[in-house]
Amino acid sequence: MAFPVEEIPDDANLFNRIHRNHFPGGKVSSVAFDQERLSVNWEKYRSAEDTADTNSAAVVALAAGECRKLEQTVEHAPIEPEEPSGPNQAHSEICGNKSKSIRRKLRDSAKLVWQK
Amino acid sequence: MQLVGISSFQGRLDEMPHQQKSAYEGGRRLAVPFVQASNVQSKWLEEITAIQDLPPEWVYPYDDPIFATAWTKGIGLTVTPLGFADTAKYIVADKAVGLSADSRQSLKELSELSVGWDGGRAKPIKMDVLGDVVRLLRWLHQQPLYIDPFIVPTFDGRVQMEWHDEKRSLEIEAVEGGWAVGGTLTLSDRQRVYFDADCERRDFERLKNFYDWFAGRELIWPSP
Repeated sequence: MAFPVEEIPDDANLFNRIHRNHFPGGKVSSVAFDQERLSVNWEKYRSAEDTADTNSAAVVALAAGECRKLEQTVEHAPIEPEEPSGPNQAHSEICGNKSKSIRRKLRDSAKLVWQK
Repeated sequence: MQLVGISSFQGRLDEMPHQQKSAYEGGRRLAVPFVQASNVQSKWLEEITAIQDLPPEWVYPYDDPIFATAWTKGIGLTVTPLGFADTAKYIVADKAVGLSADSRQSLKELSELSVGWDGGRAKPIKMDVLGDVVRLLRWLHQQPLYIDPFIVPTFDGRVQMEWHDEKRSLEIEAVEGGWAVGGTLTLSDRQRVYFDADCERRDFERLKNFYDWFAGRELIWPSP
């Protein structure tokens, strides 16, 4: 049975893994947020630690409401077991054009929640 | 044209064959020197760079002539064909000699990123972009109180340079046709003000103004 698609509340945390190349000197680069559809994990279904992969230097948390204030939409997009990199019920996407200043605002609103 | 590397000379500058010396006369370098870099070769490159002390815009413009196979055979040098990508890496590495060890290491690592380095679809870094970064950093390096930036790869095969301190941060990102520049000012109440600007690729004077803003020498964000 397919995962239900849910509405993500404004106060939900969304975990974004930060590649080691985007964490120079222990500082998250705004480049890490430069994706039209930025993949994140909803904390309801996956922890920050489990969001990290072998290339991750850190994981940050973005509040869904803060993303929406920056003209982004937040979509729950669970990955089914038969799909590549599935199953992942936590998978969500922060969607929208991310100008340079929006990327920096996302970076500045993000909280570091896990570090290698 | 097939590009070549010259692997026969591994000594000091004053021991260099006359034919190779002449390639450096007239204020311009004309050769991509080596197939495999070694410590000796790196030192030799440093000597060359120090002796010439060229302004960044004089060093290896992209249309610089590169030794052709027949020419190098004619002067008795051992040559090995190089792919264009490898040649471009040597050009960038050579130009970067005047930068700090940290910056050179960053540039080396960036030049070695392959397709999908992020575990997804990220592209390898374009050598012309790294070349422009080196030019800019060599230029900024001459400024007082210069500090090295962090250099990070973007997903589309370019890079972003970043400088951060408590009050200000500056990001200069290579984009198609130029640079996108972003500044962030953190006020005493922790509120942040964001600035943006675009800049042409070779407009180093303007980029220096942004760096001066970051360094506190300019109080007002340099607007067009």
